[in-house]
Amino acid sequence: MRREMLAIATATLLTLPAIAQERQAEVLAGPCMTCHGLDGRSHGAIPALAGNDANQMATMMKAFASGAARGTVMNYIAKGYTSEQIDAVAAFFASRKR
Amino acid sequence: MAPIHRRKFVAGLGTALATFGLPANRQSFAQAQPRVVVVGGGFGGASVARWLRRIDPAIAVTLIERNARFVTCPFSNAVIAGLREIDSITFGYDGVRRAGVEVIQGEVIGIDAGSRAVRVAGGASVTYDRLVLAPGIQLVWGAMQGYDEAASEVMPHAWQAGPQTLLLRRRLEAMDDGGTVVIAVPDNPYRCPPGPYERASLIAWYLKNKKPRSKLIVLDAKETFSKQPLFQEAWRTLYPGLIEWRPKSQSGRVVSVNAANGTLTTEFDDIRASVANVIPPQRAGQVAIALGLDQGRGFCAVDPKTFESRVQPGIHLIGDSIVPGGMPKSGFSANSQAKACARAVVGLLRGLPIEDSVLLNTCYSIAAPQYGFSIAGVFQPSDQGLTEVPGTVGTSALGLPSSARHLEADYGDSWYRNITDEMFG
Repeated sequence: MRREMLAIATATLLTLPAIAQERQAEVLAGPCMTCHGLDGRSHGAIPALAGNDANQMATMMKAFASGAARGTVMNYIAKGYTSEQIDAVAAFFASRKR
Repeated sequence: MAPIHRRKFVAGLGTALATFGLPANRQSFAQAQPRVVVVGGGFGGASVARWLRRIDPAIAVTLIERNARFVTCPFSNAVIAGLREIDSITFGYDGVRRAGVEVIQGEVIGIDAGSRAVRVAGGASVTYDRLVLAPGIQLVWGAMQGYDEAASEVMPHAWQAGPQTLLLRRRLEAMDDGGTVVIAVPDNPYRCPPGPYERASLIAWYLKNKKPRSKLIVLDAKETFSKQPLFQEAWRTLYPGLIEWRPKSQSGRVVSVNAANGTLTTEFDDIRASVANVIPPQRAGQVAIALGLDQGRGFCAVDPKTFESRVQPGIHLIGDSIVPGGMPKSGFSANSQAKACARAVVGLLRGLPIEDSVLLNTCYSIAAPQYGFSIAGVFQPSDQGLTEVPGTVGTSALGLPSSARHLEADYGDSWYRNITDEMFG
């Protein structure tokens, strides 16, 4: 246990900004997983997000937000995120294993 | 890891008890390994327990839940209508245990906020650094005259899924064709705002297919309801003439019931039901009420960023038991609150900044097999609580082709698989 905590502490010291960024991205991406599956690995009709191209996902989200793309719930949900938040969420899911 | 830790803790219970009232000692223990206790293993509790472990695996998390298995309210209306079996909406806690959460099955009989300890029936006592309560709702017996626990065995509420769900289904199955089914719906706030109307839709589906001379009356204590235009469009399309909805202004509010003769009494009428489904007023689960966390109001005010009680520091609340601002009381909301709460609890325990959170709700209702529609919204903490982000709350459109309704029914199925997999898989 002590070794595990030491490892975490060390990792935190080494890469604090990267970890903070990852934490913020996960906070924003967490609610998406309720529909799109844990870490974007979906069962059934809702599209999986894990491992998809970040640019494509960000472009799609922005199109949902502007109304250029017609979805179902996504036209509402996409409006709740800033452009920077959309990019962070897209990068988060792009980095997940399929 | 967790079970070993627990054995060690139980072995040292005498010490723990001896240190009640000695916070310095407890805190030195806390610094070694912070412990979060979660009470209630539903959408809020199971989610927050697992997300705490995911965010910070060095935190010990104990989940206390009275039942060995959890039956979800989502899709319980499909069980009532015979479209699903109850096993398909029932989940055990093995997946939660595999995520490193210690799960104690038992009834919480006391919480001592001073010494930060939760007592469980049978003797176990667990101390915490932070406590998360996710007790859901309790039904307020007697709020509707004549509707108590005994009456609910004749007129099921089926608003906490499980035996009550099956009881309502059996009563529908036993009803003769040509009978009258009555659903009594309470005033806001209550768990799952569109739930009564999804139930009306799916019971209508059952009646149309199995007992076509029967009718369904919805007696409502409100004037309007969630997704109303979509439900009413579905009722006109799928079940013309079958469902009669009476709002409060048309004598819809049920003031008393007589379980012995199957009568529901509104402000002006007596209605005889062949099968009555009475959904009574609700309030936060008893563990929250017992601590006074609702301040006598029925539901509990929380800090919208940390979900810490406005009454009792160190205790957080999520899910149906809170005053949720603009968020509906739904399993999705509870899950979303759980993620934000887990972040905040870890931040508070570790002295880290608490990130800005975005909270979501999406709720699919099924009016018939392959006929679904949704409401969605984005919420964020503000001075007024959890408030909707302007322009983000809305429903499916009216007048869409059946292919669109089919797609949203499939999305509803997919959502259910994904959220239950996240909690229990």
